[in-house]
Amino acid sequence: MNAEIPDLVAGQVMAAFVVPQVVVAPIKAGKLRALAVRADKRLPGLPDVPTSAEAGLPGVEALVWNGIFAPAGTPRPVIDILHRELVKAYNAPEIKAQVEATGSYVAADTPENSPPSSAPRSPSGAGSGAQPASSRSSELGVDAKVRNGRAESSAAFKRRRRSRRFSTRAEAPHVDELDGDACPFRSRRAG
Amino acid sequence: MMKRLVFVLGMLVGIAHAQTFPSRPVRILVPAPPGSSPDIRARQIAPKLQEALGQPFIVENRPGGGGAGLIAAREVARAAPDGHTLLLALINSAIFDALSPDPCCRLNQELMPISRFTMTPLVAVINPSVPASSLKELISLGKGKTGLDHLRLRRSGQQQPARRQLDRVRDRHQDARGSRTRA
Repeated sequence: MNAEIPDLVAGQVMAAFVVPQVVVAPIKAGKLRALAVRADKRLPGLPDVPTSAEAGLPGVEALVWNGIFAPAGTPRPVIDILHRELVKAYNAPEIKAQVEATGSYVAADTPENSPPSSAPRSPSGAGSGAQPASSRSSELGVDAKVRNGRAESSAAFKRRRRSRRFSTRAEAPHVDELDGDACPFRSRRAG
Repeated sequence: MMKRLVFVLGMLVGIAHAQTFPSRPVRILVPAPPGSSPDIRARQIAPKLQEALGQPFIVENRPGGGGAGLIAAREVARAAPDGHTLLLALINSAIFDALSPDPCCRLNQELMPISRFTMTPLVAVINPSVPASSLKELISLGKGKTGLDHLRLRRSGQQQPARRQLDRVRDRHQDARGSRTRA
């Protein structure tokens, strides 16, 4: 994990963009210099480090996130139960404190707001055009028989996914578009 | 009258369904090894969910499958869609999705979001010997305006968000031993 830190401290690597928990100690010890926190607010653990906006580059934000997913076709009531309990769980004071102690923060979802893709795919896989999530795939992709430049070969795969659409690498968005929008959730930023 | 009866029955079925979940232990698959940051996150919330929903929430580690953690994602995408198999997905999956989606398990297609959990901003750090005191100065260095040959930047897996950021300060990368998963 985070093998770049020794290299960074030793000067083998000059710069890096890393998660806060691994660099707070070397920064405080003067072994590394922090230039910016790539978020819209400063980190409690690094109060002297400006945000990228304060450093003169507004909008240059980079957050990593994690989230809980379920297989498509999971019934709505089940999704709602899980959503409600998850939000409650990570908003519990002790969990929140643990998360914030490492320079992260918990998502800003509330028990009431539901996940964005409210029309899960039916288990048969049919009707993919009806759900909001597939609009991205229609923008990006074509009905292609080529996956990542390779010809489609697996008969089992074809059977399983006959009616689905997927995009090719060439149709993928430019990397620059990812920074803010890679997150598939509607409310992207904690308040 | 008939319509109303059907409606009420439908409601009851919906409620019954909701009440029977979870009917057995729920597995949370983590695409990272035990002790890693995503693993710790999953183990932080599992006991809370267990307490709230009355069934064990078991964290299982399924590292591997490239930066996107496809081994875990695939297993969840193939599991019965009843909420008893969940995935802790990382941003790596979303980046992988956009660059080279694997039709087995794309977010918002084969895998549906329930909620985000944690957000972590990246910090730009430099070795103190680098003659830059701000992000802008670092970028000028990267563009070679100050006579420095090149910046040696850290690069790891293709799907790593850090790598995407380094591409912004585009210059020569240096390969570094890198972790494959975190967030």
